[in-house]
Amino acid sequence: MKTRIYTNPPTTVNEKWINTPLIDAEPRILPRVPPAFGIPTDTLNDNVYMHFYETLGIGIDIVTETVFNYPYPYLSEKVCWPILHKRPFVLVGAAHTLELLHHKGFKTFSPTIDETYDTVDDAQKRFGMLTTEIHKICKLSLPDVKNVLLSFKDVCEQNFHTLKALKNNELNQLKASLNDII
Amino acid sequence: MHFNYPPRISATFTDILSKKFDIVEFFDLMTHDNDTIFNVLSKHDSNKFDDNTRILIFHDDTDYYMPHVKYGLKIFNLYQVCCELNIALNSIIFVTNHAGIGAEFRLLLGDDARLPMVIDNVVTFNNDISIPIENFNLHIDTSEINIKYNMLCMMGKKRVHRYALYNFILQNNLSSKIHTTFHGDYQNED
Repeated sequence: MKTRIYTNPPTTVNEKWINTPLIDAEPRILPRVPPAFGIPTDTLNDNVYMHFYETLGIGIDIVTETVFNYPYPYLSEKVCWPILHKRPFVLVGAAHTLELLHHKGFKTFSPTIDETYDTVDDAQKRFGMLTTEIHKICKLSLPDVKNVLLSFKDVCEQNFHTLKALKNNELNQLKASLNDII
Repeated sequence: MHFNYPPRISATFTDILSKKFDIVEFFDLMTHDNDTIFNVLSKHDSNKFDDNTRILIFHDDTDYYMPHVKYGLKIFNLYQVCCELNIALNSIIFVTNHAGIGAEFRLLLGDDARLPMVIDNVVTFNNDISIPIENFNLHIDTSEINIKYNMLCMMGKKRVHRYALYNFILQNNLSSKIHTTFHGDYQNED
């Protein structure tokens, strides 16, 4: 009999990494957004609607990925929302996640946003660098935020098309790698 | 063999792999705990597998890493189950978004062992990512956006880094600058 290890309570995330007093936040349920801009309602999930609703009138997105203190760069659907809505973003996620995005063909927002946080493995230090950057952006006036947004118009447009092509690119890479095997 | 793939996993990916290999079992580590994996794999005897027979496993959930241990509990438990059932690890195709996770199998099995085939450079096998993207044709003119907040921060499930960020926003009075939502345990947000 081999020994398996079970966590109690069951969890898939080890989060004991930062000495911050926890705050209980009241869950907030957002209203559904009515169909707009011809988005086919049957193909988009609630997340898209919520994010679309929240993104109107927003300059720069803060993406809080699924994990932060994690041994692998981790991409989920969360980073897709600012790309779909053509917004620059700051990524609160595992180290080297921006590097993975670059590897997938995306461009990010350095040097306007200091993205050296992505290279820092130490979670607490990385979190400090992220909050410094967020604080810096919050000190900008709204017209300045708009200017930042406009300065990244082409990058955001390119990222949007890279994202739309991502699945096909990955499928083609998978086919090619399988052809190499046998 | 035909499987009813869970809607979370892209059928296009599984079809490509099914055309190349004889897939006799398929599961998603997110939805299968240790005992379920044991029950699923106990139906198979890898001694009877031919060279092209494979078990297909998808892994894009997070894993639990104990301090100073370089492999996650899911990988460890999968390895233990396979040992227990005498399933050869090299009969597994492991598709994941965890780039570099093959090192965990090498730690457990050793460099000389016959390792699983690890495909670790894909993220769009998860339909949560790929379905909205393919159908999204929203035309946003950045120059016409009327900015009301510097930033947006949408947070789903309760996680330590989200609490920390929420603390930071409150303690620095940034809620007028950062449009913030925190859903807690609402629905399946993570």
